[in-house]
Amino acid sequence: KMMSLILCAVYLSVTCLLHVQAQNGGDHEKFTEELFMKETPSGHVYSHFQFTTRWDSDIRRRDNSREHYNLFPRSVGDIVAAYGVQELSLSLTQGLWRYEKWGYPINSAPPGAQVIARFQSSVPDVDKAWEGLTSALAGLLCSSLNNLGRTESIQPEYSFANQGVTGPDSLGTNRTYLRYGILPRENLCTENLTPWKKLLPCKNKRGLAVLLSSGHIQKYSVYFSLGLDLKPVCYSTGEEGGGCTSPGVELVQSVSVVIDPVIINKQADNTDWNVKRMFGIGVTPACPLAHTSTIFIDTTDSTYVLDPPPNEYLYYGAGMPRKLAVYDVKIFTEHGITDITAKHPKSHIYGIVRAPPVLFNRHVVGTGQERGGIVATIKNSCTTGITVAYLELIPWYLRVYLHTLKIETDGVPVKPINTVYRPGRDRERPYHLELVLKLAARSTTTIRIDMEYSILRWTEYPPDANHGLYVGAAVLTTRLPVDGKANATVLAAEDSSLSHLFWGNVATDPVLKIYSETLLITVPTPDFSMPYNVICLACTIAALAFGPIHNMTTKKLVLVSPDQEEKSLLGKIIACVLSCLPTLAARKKKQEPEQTSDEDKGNEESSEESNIPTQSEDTNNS
Amino acid sequence: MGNVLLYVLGAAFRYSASGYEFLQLRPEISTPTNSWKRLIEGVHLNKMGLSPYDGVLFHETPIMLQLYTVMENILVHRSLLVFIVLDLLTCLLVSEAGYYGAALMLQQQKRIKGDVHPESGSLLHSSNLINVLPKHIAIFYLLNPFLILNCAARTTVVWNNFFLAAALLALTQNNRFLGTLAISIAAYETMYPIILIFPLTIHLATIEGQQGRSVTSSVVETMVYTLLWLSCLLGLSHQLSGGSWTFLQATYGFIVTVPELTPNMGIYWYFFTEMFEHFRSFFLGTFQLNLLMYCIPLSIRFWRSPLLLFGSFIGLISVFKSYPSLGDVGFFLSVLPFFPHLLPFFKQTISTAGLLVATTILAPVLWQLWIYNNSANANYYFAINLLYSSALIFIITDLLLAQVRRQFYLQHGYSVIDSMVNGNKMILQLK
Repeated sequence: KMMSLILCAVYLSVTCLLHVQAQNGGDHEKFTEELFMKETPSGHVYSHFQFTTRWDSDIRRRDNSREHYNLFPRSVGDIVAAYGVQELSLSLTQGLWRYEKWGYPINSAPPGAQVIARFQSSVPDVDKAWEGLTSALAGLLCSSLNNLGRTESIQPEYSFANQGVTGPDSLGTNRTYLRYGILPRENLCTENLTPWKKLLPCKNKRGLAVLLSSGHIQKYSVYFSLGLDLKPVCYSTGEEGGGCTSPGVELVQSVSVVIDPVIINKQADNTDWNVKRMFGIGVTPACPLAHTSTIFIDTTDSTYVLDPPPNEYLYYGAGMPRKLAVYDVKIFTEHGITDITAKHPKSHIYGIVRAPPVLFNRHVVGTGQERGGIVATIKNSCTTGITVAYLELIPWYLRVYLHTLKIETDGVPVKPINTVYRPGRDRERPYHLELVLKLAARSTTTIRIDMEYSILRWTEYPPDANHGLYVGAAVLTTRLPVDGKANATVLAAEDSSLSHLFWGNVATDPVLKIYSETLLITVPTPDFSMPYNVICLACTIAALAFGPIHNMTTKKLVLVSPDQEEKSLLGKIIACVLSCLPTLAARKKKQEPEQTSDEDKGNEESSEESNIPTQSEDTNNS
Repeated sequence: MGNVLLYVLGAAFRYSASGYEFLQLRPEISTPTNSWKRLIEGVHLNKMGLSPYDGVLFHETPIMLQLYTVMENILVHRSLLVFIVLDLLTCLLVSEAGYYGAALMLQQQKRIKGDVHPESGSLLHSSNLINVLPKHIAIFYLLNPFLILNCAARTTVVWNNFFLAAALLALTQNNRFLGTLAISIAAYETMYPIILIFPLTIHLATIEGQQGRSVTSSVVETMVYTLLWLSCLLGLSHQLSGGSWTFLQATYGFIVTVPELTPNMGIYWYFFTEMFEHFRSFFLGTFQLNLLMYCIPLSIRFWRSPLLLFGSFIGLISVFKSYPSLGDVGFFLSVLPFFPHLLPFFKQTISTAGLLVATTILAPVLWQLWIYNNSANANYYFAINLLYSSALIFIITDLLLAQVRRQFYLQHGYSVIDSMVNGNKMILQLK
């Protein structure tokens, strides 16, 4: 009996071990950590951390829900499975990406929070799933994403195409399952970064994530963006393009930080930078679970010298290839924590920075709190015409007049190729305006639309209502022409890791998203302190009509003698006071007969006078 | 000749005022239910193939929408001409109603002449009324600044006033067919004028009663006519909006539930801005019923004077509708010359007139201070709204009380007021 028990235990432990080995072994789950750094022409340092987790399991399938999670974060997997999410893109951003100075980022994100989600076609109620998903994400990242209900979200028609692999079943491209929402007022802080880091296999204990110390980033960054992107990837396709037979999942966690070295160095022309001073610690040993751990530094137009020198240089892209310095962290940190320093031989000269080919700005026009307009400017400096999709999500409390929409290219009115307009409804859904435009080469296009600011119910205003209300960034989606392509780093669709892009030298579809500024609008506010007064006063006015009409319809006009007169309550009080006055006066007279006799007389007279009009109000008018 | 000059002058005023485009955007004149900009937006959306009732900007009726879409060339591109002509036509109708109304009043007076106290002969209408009244009404209508601004701002109130004027004319002409039609159209557009069916019904029943017809059958006939017209209009709208009833929510639902709180000259907007959420529906019901509630007692009390009922109902609507505008009030004020015989009995003529003028001038000033200069707040503007509303209410109650008093003096003469009882003067009181 004992033997059989032992045998049983041995058997169990062996199978377990085998199972775990099967899970870890091979290409089932792969984690990659990467850091891409680039000095922008304006002297700022852009650092893009990217942590990519790939898994060949289709976590959305219900029967897989009891599967073992090793590298992939279970909390994300559960949310994705529970709400049938096909693709998810989430960003939390503090600050505004300056396209004209910094070029295009790897991941564009608007100020505030943004969620783009595509649900599986098996989801019965997309709006309900969307609300569940945003609430779950709010819990996951300690942010107010739960405010992104169905009243704040839209279903884009031309923007936000599928990022991952598409296929016939459960990997659809139907737009009705797509939702987009934006919270422009959301802040990004330590409480969001900490739970985000916990989703990583090595948490913040090992690897490149150690560099993400919130205190340092919050202190020095001019732009700080945190992203969470999930998409289906394909592990093997069926025969003759029959779609993906074994879909997997890829989770990209990214952090973009822009730091101005001048502020760290406290010298106006000193743009030297090093990892230690920017992030508080040098490069630490790689996460042991990572398949690769790499730092890429774009040194294409750089004037600085890297110390220590990189493991190797890599040339990426056709035409004018970009020169990337590559540090393999696993080799680089053999001897412990190491710093990377960039030293400029000459001090930085600030000049005009060459702007990227497509620029997009937006501002609000008009004075006062009554009405205004939104003006968006798109500048295309490509040598060829481009097609863009312009997406505007305007909250319901700004009433948009579509007939005032004016699109002009260099002063000439143009017609959009396509217009999608869904008018908003109060407290139900926002205004959704999407335009597909053809922009001529080297042209500036302005889009203008008028709106009216509505006054809300007093309980609907956000705290500090006089600060104003935000309108989230507009999105411009375009495909860059070949000549503009070198300006942007666009991740490959099949594998989002930078290594795949740079080492594989893969050709990517250069679809670019550009976000505009957030708008702040001062809407009229009521006086929050006096609801009671307003209710009382308005009811008084209603009573002003009710009283006389009630009187004249229920009573008859008759002659009465003064003693039969029916007095109102006020009249009774006045009569009572008046009747008391003479006795009081008489008493006073007794006490001081000589001095006050004249005054008393006056009082009595005036009291009699005031008595007259109340008694003969109606007779006077005859 | 003088009349033609007056009409030319009225048209000239309207034309010159229309040069000020900001009038179209003034909250006092253009409300969500009548604004020209919203009508244009609706037509634009309709032409694009989108339903304007899907959004929250458009609140005109489907017939109006189709009319403006189909006849865009005339109604939109030559809108100013259309509105001026329509306004002048309205004036013509009202002054014509003045003629028939005067005839009606003189006729009524003849009937009661025997009961009038000998002292009160001076209170009676002079037979000249029939010549003077249309002229006075035309002056009041054409030179009324409220109506000039309303026409220049191209609000759809101009249309509504036209149908109200037609209803008034039909009432004075004892025309059931036209009267019910005009009231139905007006009610179809802005809902509230449905209460004008009370004076019309009463008047027709009285007139036909004198001719020996039973009151019940007269009342039923009027009701049937009205229901018929209304169902025709609603049925047509249903057809025009492609077999959907969504327009009901966007038009009447909007008027009843007051979802939009854009400031105007009424008492609703700020009241419901500051309302506690759990009381909202209660007070909505109360405020809407407030207007309806007056119909029955007033109809019972003043059934002998349907014109007065008509006038006071228009006044009450212009104060207590959810989105009132200057155009509604202007029409009410232009109907006031119908009652010159009540003027001597007005109690607060000067103060209410002064209040009305002052608030009309102060409203834009305080709006500017609140919205543009940030040196005032919503309370300032609302205070003006309250005073303005109370001035109008005073005019209405004064008008009705004047009628009560006039009746008394016609019956009892003057001297009764000077009679003494036990050495004390008698007091006239509602008891």
